[in-house]
Amino acid sequence: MSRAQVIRPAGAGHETLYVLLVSVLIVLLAAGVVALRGEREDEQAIERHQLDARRDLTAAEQGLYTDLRVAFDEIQMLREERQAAPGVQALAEDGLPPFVDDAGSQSRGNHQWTWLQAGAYLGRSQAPDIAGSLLLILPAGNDGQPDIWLRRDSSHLPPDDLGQAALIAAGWRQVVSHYDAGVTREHRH
Amino acid sequence: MTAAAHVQPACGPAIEFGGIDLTLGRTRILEQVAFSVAPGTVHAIVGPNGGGKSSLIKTLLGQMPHQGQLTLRWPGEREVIGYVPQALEFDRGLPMTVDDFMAAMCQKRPAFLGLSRRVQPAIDAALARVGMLDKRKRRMGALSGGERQRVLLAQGLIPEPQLLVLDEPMSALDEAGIQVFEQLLAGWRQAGTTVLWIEHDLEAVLRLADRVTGLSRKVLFDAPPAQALTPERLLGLFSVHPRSESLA
Repeated sequence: MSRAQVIRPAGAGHETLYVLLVSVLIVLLAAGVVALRGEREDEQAIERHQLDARRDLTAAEQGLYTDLRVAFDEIQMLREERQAAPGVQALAEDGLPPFVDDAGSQSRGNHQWTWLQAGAYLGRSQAPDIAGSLLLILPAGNDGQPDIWLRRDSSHLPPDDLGQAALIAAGWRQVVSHYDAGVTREHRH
Repeated sequence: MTAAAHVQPACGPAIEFGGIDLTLGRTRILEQVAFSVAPGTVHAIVGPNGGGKSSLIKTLLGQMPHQGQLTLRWPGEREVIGYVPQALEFDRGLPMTVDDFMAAMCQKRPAFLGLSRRVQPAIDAALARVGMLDKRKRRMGALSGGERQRVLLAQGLIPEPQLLVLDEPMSALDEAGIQVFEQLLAGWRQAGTTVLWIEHDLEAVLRLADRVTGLSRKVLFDAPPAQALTPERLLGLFSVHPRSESLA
């Protein structure tokens, strides 16, 4: 058996090539691991007709939104007891914000609350530049989540139809909240 | 190790230098060096200091960024190259014995664990061939230059090489060492080993080499020693000073 061996020039050429190839391999491996094992970005995009409760509301609106969600639990309990949704007057007498009329509610837009037979509480804002008008739509059953909508113009007409499409057409926007990674990681001031 | 009764077929490789150029920095070390070494022969390279002899050997060992085609044609399965450097310096106090050095060169097992049983017979035989068997416990730094050169020769024997590259092996050897070297050379010739041998001693080249190449940046001659080593050629070889020439 005969074999010709060509002596290759020494130099950094092949070594550089090997180092580059190894680097590419490492990058590909790392990319593969990230692609296979990495977690998705879990920040959710919101629809055009929605408002993010954390970012898109004014301070007064955020307070009202939170109060409405707390009040919703009370409303659900009263609803179970009485088999009917409590009136705005009863809620105000119980001292439940935002229905109660006090210094806090006056500074946050002085909303005039009314009960809509379709199954919703409508709060008309007297100062739309501080806080828009709010609409709390109760779910049909006793268990469910409240649906809260907001509009910032000064229209005082109550909505005829509580369907989503009709509300969107009338200029209402749904307030939604997400608990995602951005809550803890992002700092917007 | 007596005279060759019958010469075995060459098991060493043929070497073909096909127009080797070597430039380090802006200095031209080798320029279109082209000659070939026949398999199983003792091929000497002579030339002035700085003529590129050692660089040519380093090129052959794959340690130089040369240009041109350099080919080894191996005839058989075994492809072992032995290399004996010109000299190695050891500090006198370095606690490394001859055995430690041989172990470090010839076995994979760490030298501080002692000689491996597998290579021990080969190391014994190699040290015996160079006459260093009774000095194997001496420190490398305590040896004379000639004794150290013999140890370097011994490490070139393990494992048995098919191509042996010698860089001025006789320069440090004493009279007895030169006889040992000549015996080794006869043994390699008999075994068909290709020997590439840099040498300053032109008398030894004339006596021992099959062919000689005069190298001073370029190949000045390449012929059997009796034809090559004439006064005119040697005067031409040793009268140029390639070190002072530069590309700039």
